Amino acid sequence: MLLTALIIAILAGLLSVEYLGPQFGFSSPLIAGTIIGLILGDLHQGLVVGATIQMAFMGIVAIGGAIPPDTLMAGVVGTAVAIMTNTGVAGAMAIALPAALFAQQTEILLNTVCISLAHRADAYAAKGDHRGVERMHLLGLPLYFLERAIPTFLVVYYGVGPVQRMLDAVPAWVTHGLAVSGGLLPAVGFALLLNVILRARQVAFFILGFALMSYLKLPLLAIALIGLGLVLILDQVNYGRRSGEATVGGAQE
Amino acid sequence: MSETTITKRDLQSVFWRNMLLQGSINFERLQGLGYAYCILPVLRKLYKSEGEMSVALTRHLGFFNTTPAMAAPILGVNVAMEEQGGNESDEAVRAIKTGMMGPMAGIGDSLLWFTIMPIAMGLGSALAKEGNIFGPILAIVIYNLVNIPLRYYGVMVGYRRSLQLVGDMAGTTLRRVTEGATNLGVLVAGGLVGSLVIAKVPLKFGETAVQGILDSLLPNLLPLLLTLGCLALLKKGVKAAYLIFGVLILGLVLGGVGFLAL
Repeated sequence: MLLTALIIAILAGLLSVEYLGPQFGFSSPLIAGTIIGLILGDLHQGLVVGATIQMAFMGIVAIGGAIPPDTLMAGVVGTAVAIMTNTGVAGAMAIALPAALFAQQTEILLNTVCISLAHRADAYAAKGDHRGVERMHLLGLPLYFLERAIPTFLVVYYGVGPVQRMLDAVPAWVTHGLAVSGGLLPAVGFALLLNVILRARQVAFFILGFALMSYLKLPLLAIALIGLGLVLILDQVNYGRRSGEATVGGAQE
Repeated sequence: MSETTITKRDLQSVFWRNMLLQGSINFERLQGLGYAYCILPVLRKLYKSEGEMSVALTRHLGFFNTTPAMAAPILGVNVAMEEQGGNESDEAVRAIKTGMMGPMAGIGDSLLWFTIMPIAMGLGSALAKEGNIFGPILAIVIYNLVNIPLRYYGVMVGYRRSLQLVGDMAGTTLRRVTEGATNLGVLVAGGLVGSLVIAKVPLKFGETAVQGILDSLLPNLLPLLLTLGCLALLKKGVKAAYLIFGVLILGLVLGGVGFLAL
């Protein structure tokens, strides 16, 4: 138990750095959930629960310096607790949101703490000490590692028991309801996404995507490729030949 | 300055360091300190005295924030400017950095966060929900087919084409890429709403299943309505966390009493 909690905590710390840094996508709930499934010996649950959390938190993206609920912790803690308590999607849904909101606060805290790194870097820069500046930057990494590793350790080591007892005590209709919530929550994810990217001009694309899926039941990859083709054609029509005259019927040459 | 020239190795070093751009992210400067860290190998090569180094470091420690992958072309352009103009181009280097971070974030966020990421993770999750291990693998591959080349060639091309790139980006290229990416993202989101949001009514009136009636009206009617409802609430300013909590309760109650099923 101690070992498991340590391994998952270290994973959370590493993913925390990945999330800030190269952003290969490993810190997304789908991938984090899969890795945790492998660690805990239940790949299937890792995949299913990870995918569910991924969809629920889909549109929550940290851009423009804003700090949203923490999808990384939702994925890590949600999947770990779901598998360890053997409660599946229901368990994940019960724990993912509180974990995300808690980590949002620690992220805000750390973003404040790290201001002092920038100021100390200023002092080194004034002396022309480039190693000092470098050190100040790299000092942030262990801080952000611990930011997610410590709470993860505490939840997995001390929290699983209480969560297990809590979830065991709730009646079957609640766990069933939570599983239904898991199916509904992606709607929030897509609404968040659409809130950012959907403008009046793109409504046609939304209708098209929805129809291709709901009526024709095409695989998602097929829909993505059809969309790509369509977008490229439109680009040709609008910007092809000599740019500048961006009118649709501008083929008078 | 004089004989020092920037090699491919230096640029690669900048590429690798960009992997840790946000390592010290904070509210005051965001990626400011990280930017200095990224360009440091170049500064070390160009500025040998402490005085020169101090000026150069200070120039790069200011506020900076963009999509991390899109910092790559900005770094590339700045490296070229540092090499050509040195500390004399202090103002210009700052201006380019500050001027580029907004447009680059515009492209990067819509391309990476709101298009490639949802497409990759949407496809991956659809497979993963069936227990297919290729789901997450596919997601990582698709995303990084865009992410990694963007970061690598961003530095390289940014360095080689320098200011010309800025001109291109500010012109139609920016508009085209953003527009195309957004359109594709919206289309895929439409497909994802139809496949990944699940709300079915298990009730029956005598012989007639309610879900059958709903499906004959419009397949995936409830997922669509729920998504549009959430969108309307977001437009009204309801916070994401409240919405997630609200939908969680909605599913708990309606699922619990048997009005909704998976």
